[in-house]
Amino acid sequence: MTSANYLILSSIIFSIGFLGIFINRKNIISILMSIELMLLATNINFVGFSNTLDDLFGQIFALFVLVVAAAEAAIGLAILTIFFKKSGSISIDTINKLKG
Amino acid sequence: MFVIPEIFLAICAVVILFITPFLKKNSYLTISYLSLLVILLSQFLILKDIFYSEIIFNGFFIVDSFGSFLKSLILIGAGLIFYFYLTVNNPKSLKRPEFAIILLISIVGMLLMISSNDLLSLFMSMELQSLSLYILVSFSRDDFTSSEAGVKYFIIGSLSTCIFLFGTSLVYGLVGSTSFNEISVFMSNLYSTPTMLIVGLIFILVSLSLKISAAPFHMWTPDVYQGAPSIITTLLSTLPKIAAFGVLIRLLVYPFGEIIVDWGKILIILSISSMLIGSLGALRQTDLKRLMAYSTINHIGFILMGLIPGSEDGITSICIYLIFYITMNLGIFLFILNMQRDQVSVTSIKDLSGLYRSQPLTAGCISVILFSMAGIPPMAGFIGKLIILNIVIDNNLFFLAVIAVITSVIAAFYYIRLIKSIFFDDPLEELDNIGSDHSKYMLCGFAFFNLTVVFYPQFFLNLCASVTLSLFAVK
Repeated sequence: MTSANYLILSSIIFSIGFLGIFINRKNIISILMSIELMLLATNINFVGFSNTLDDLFGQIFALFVLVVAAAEAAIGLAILTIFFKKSGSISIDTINKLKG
Repeated sequence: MFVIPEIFLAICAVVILFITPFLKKNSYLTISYLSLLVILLSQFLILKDIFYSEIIFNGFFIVDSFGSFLKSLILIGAGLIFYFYLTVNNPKSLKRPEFAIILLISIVGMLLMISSNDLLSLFMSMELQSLSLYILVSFSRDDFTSSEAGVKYFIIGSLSTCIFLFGTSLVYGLVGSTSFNEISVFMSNLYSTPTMLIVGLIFILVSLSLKISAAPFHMWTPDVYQGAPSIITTLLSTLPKIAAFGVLIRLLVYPFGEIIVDWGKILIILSISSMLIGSLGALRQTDLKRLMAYSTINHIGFILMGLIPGSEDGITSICIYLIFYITMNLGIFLFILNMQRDQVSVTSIKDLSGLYRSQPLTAGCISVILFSMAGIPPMAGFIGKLIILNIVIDNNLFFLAVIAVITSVIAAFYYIRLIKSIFFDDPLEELDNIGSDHSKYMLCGFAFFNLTVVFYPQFFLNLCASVTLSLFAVK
């Protein structure tokens, strides 16, 4: 495997996640899933480059990203819980009170 | 020596967290006073070593006077925000001890962001800062708009993180390291710039523009500013912007300094669109906090102009503008925090009408600060704008200067519309008087500062010029 193959794979997954945020019209949980997908796509990049460069730092970076992804998911779900308590729904259509 | 102020702040935040359960009623006041004390102490620690410079922790962090200057600016702002929090009549949902602790942790993140010398440490400290801010924005749990703003801010912030990481991974794949020093060495040995590096840099720039809310990545700003509790809007519009600008300047000037031709063009697009959207978008706003969001975008566009030449003078002018920007913004938001009718916060522009009749002193102070924001001489805002425009014209970027002046004129329209409403409109229903004397004196202080800077601009010029020297000494 060359680094180009890793790059193509990770770019495809990153784009799926990115489009998932913008095309998705249903609920916020799937946005959280898309964000997770994008973070993991960057991890593929880091580990792949680490392999081709023969350098350990990329794998360490990937571990840090995993930690942050977990913390981010926890905080995102907590905020979503507060939002659900107030609006009674997690549909994207309900996020429309603030505009102008 | 080392990152003692950050370590001190982080340890104190954890210690305060452990003290909290042992306190009884009104523990939030004790905790806030303690946090204010901690911030003052770490300000002292920073000022003690302001001219010290060293690369520490195996190249992960750098301590220099440019960083120390921005850090002390952040700590001054944080101290003032804590002071506002203690003296203003807050809604009940904000009177919790967690508030001060999370605020302290986010400040640790901002300070670490400024000293980062590696993309990994930058990423971790940026996350520390933004994860705490997501919580703070949705802090007012009884309020629907606060939680909605929290959801929006969280989604945009995480998107920015992902984009930053993708850019970092591309840079890592090419350079083989994420240290700023290694990137800088790699760049100086290049004959032509690889496309992958430019793509990586664009990803990183997009993510940082989301953080400083430069257009076209500004969409979240008005919604989040309006929905968040006012005290958090005060925080959002000042401190994270300083931290993100510190990162942007260090990143673009030091490791990516060699490809200034490439990032200069991107910054020109960002600053022109920010100035246009910041001035045109605000024209039809009716909410004061939303208006301030657009005003922030406009100011950010102005500040970005100073970075385009990548020169020492340009960065000096950015530092000066940042000082004036936070004093103006803190002044306006101190008033917005105090805008209440029958103990309930109101933020509509209509509520300002006829303020002059009921509270002449407050009205005068507010109009001085608004004039300063509009850039009318001889206020502080004018001096900031003058210095940046001077740099832009020195570098032959005439079209940019013309656009900057035109957008400033458009922006002056909506600031002066507010002043017209304060002085000449008939009052609908009187606002409550500003309750505490503290707020009144502080407001006068901000107005006085904005009015008198014209007598000693040399002091700020010399101060900022001496701190930016250290940034270029690393090369």
